[in-house]
Amino acid sequence: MREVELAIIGAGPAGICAAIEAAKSNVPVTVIDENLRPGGQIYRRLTDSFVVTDENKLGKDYIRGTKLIGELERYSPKIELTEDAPVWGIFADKEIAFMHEGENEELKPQKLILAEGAYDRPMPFPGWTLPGVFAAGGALRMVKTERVLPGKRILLAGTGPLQLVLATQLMQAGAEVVSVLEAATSTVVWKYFPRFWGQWELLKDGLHYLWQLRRGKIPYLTSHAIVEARGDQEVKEAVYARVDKDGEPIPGTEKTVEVDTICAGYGLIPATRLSRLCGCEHKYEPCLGAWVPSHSENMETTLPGVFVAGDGAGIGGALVAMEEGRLAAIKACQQLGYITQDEARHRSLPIFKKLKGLRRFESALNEIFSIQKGLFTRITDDTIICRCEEVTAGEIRETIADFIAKEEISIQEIKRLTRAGMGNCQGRMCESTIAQMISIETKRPVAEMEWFTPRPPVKPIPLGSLAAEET
Amino acid sequence: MITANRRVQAGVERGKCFEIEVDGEKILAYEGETIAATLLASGKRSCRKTTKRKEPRGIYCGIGLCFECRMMVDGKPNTRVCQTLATPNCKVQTQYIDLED
Repeated sequence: MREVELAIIGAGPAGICAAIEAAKSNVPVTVIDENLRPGGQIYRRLTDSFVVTDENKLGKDYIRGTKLIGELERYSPKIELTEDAPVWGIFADKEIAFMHEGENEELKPQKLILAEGAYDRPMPFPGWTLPGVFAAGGALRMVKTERVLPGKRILLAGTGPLQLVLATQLMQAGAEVVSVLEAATSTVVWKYFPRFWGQWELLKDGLHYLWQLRRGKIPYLTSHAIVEARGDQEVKEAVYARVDKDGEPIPGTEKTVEVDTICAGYGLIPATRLSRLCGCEHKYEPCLGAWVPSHSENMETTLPGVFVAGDGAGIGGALVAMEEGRLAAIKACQQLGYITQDEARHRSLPIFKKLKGLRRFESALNEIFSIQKGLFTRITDDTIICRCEEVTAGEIRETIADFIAKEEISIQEIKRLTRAGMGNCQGRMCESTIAQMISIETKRPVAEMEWFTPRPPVKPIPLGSLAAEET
Repeated sequence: MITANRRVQAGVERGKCFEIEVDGEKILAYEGETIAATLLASGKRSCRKTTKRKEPRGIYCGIGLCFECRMMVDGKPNTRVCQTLATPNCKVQTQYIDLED
C-alpha cells in the first residue's frame, strides 16, 4: 500500500483550497476525486470536447470556478490529482480504497482531509418518481455543464437559494419557467437581516438572482409547495398549494398546472458516507436536518489527523468551503511538521475572522430555509420512499406502528424489515425521510434517529476488480 | 420518432457529432456529453422500468448517487447514464429488470 503524507478526498472548492494551501507549505499532497475534472458540483467543468465561447452564459459560479481551478493548476507540480477515482472505502487508520481506470488502488496517508460535498435532499411527494421530476442540483448540472434543457415547461419547487440560481439558468437557456415555489414564508426574512450585514458579495448574488426572476416575469411564490406530480409515463401536471408556517399544505388552495418537468430543490444534505465510515463522532444538526461530523475550529474530527471541510462538514456554500479547506490544510501541515505552530496560527487567524461573518450569513440561510415538518404531511401512503426497493410510505408507517407497540425502534430495523435502504443508492435517497417519519410517528426527537450505518463499498465497484486482488 | 433538440447553444461550441442507438432508434450525440444529456436533448426521459411496480424511472439526482438512470449500455446493465459519456454507435437500452453485474 502506497504511503503518503497528506491525502484529500474531493476536489470541490474545499478540497482544491486545501490542496493549494498545503502546496504553499511544500507538503506533497494527493487529491482523489470521483469526477472527470476538478470543481465539485458547484464549479463543475464542461468536458474538453466543448469550447466555451462565453463564460457569462454559464453563470457566475462557472467563472469563479475557472479562476479557482486555474490557481490549482499553477500549483500542479506539487499536487498529485487523481480524477475519475471514486473512493469506496476507508478502513482502520485512514487506509483509503478507490477505483481508478478499472483497478482497485489503496493509499495510506498520515493526514486525511475529507471534502465530500453535499447532495440534494430527497423530499418525497406523490409522483416524485416519475421521469421528468429532477433534483434541483441534477437539473442545474444538465443546463450548466451539459448545456441541455431537462424539459420545456418547468416548475421549480423547494426551498432555498439554489432554486433562484437554477431558475435563472433555465430561463437564460431558453426554458419556460412556470413558477418558483418557495416553502418558507417571506415575512421571516427580515428578522435575519442583521446576520446578513457585511456580506455584501453574497447579498448582491441573491439580489441579482431575484432581479433576474423579476425581469423574466417568473412568479416567486413563497409559502407554497408542490403536493403532487401527475402523469402516466412521465410528468404532465403538477399540483401545488399554499402552505402554513409549518409547511403543511392548506386544503382548498391547490392549483394544477400543466408542466413537463419539475425540479425539486429542498436544500442540501452533507455527504458523510466516508466520515461515518471513519468512525469519527457525528452530531445531528436540526437546521440542516442531517448528521454532520463534529470538528474542532481547525476542522479536525474526533479522530486525530482526520479533517473535514466544506459542505460535507455542514452546509455553508462554496465560500465557507474554501476557507474550511484552508484551515484544515494549515493544521495538517503543522501536524506534519512543515510549519510551526506560530505560523499555523498566523495563517489561520484571518481565516477564522472571515469565516465568522460567512457562517453567520449561511447559518441564517439554513434557518430560514430549514425543512418544515409539515412538508412531510404531503407523503401519502402510496408514495414511494425508497426508490431502489420500491418501498412505500404506507409500508414504512405500518412497520413503525408495529414497533411502537414494542417500544423499541431503530432505522436499522426498519431497513431489515422493509428493505428500504438496501438498494443501489445505499439509503442516500431515503434515510433522512425515514428518520423524520419515525420521529413524526413516535413523537420522539429526530435527533435520536440515527441514519443507516454505511458499509463499504460506498461507491459501486465492479466485483471482479476485488476478486482479482485476493487471488 | 425523435425530434426534440433541447441542446442549449449559447456560450458553447460542441465537438464532433455522431449517432448512438437508443432502444433500436438512432439519435444524435455530441462528443463529451453524457448519455443522460443525449437522451434529454432528444426528449427521451425514461431510463428503466422498476422490477416490482413496472414503473418508468428517469434521471433524478443527476450526479451519480440515486441510480435511477441505470440502463443497459453496450450490454452492460446498471450503467448510470448520468455518469457515462456517449461514444459513437454505443447501444443504449431501457433496463427492464434489476440485474447483477
